Amino acid sequence: MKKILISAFFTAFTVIGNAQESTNYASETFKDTRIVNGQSVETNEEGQLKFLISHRFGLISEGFDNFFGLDQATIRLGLDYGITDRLTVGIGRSSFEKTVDGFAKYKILRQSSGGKNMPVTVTWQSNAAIRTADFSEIPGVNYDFANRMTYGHQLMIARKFCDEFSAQLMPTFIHRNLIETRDEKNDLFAIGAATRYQLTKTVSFQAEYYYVLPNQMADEFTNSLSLGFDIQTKSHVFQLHVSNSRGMIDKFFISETREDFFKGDIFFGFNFSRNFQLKGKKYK
Amino acid sequence: MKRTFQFICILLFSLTACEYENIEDLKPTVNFDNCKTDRVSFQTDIEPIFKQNCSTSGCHNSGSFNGDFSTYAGIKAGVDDNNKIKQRVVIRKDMPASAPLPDCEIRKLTTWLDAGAPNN
Repeated sequence: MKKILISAFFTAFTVIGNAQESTNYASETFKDTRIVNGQSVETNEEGQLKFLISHRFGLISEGFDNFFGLDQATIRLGLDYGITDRLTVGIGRSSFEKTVDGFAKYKILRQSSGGKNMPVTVTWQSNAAIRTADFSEIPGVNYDFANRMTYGHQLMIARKFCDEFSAQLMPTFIHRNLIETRDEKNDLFAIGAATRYQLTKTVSFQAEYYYVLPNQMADEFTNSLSLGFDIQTKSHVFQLHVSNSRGMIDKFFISETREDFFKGDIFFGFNFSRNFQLKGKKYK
Repeated sequence: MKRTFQFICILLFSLTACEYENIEDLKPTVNFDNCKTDRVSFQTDIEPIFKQNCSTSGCHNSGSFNGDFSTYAGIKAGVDDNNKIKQRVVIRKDMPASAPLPDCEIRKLTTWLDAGAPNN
């Protein structure tokens, strides 16, 4: 009798549960896992391998002599893999300072409505970068391996306000083991803001800005501003953009941007990504 | 897959080593590179030091009672005389009278004296 009562109770509970409103999770807050230089809240689907080619050409302001920067280019090749729908790990190698980087990214909260209400998507990202290029030789200075390392941690908070418009805030921390001068800080705090505006079904406009809190960098460095367009096809995303940052990983564009966007010192660049489904459904 | 993830985690943690360094502090206060003491030559390294600091008019020039340091022979005589040059310039540092020699010149001189003060 007791058993029957318990099973009846659970059956009733399940029926009530099912009768509740289902939860709708916001999808495609951003069209890709990168906004321009920085990461977005998006993670890879489980079993999805993303091959990323990122290119930044030289300064457009250098004019026809360098074919508006196209003669010089830096590149980053990257592979990102979705271990679960929420957890992505990635590695990459930049030609700039011959830097190898790795990151792990976890989607902590998902924006949802209906059964569960969550106003924002929150993703955490941690990364490490190793400079493999030789340091400039300074008499009497011996560098150790740890001098080559930089670490970064970032919290990304994003909201998709409607199908056309999303915005993201990124409090960021960067630790550099080695810096140039005493006046700079090894630990650097910055806050980033980014937005996406959908122009057509396949094309969207993106803007990304990182503000480094004052008195942390040498005077020659400035904040990173990037503007670009995403063009989406079935399994590719093309991103075309202009930025005053040359590097494509956190430590480069947040802490080592030297050019002034509004003086015309900007780099043209593109990101190109191709997704491969290694696990689960091949085409979604 | 779990193993791959664990491997990546271990790899990332193994690379974790926080340091707080800057190139300014890494630079030594004395620029050792400009002070090459491995091959000290009398003609290129030592003679100019004596010419500039010792064998000036009224001090250790030709005809001086305190020794003539304008030639190798004169300097060698000073070295052989109870190692006086080392005593005054390197150890007591009361010569030159105006001020002791810069650190690098003292080190060069010491190397040369220790090598037997050759005329090379």
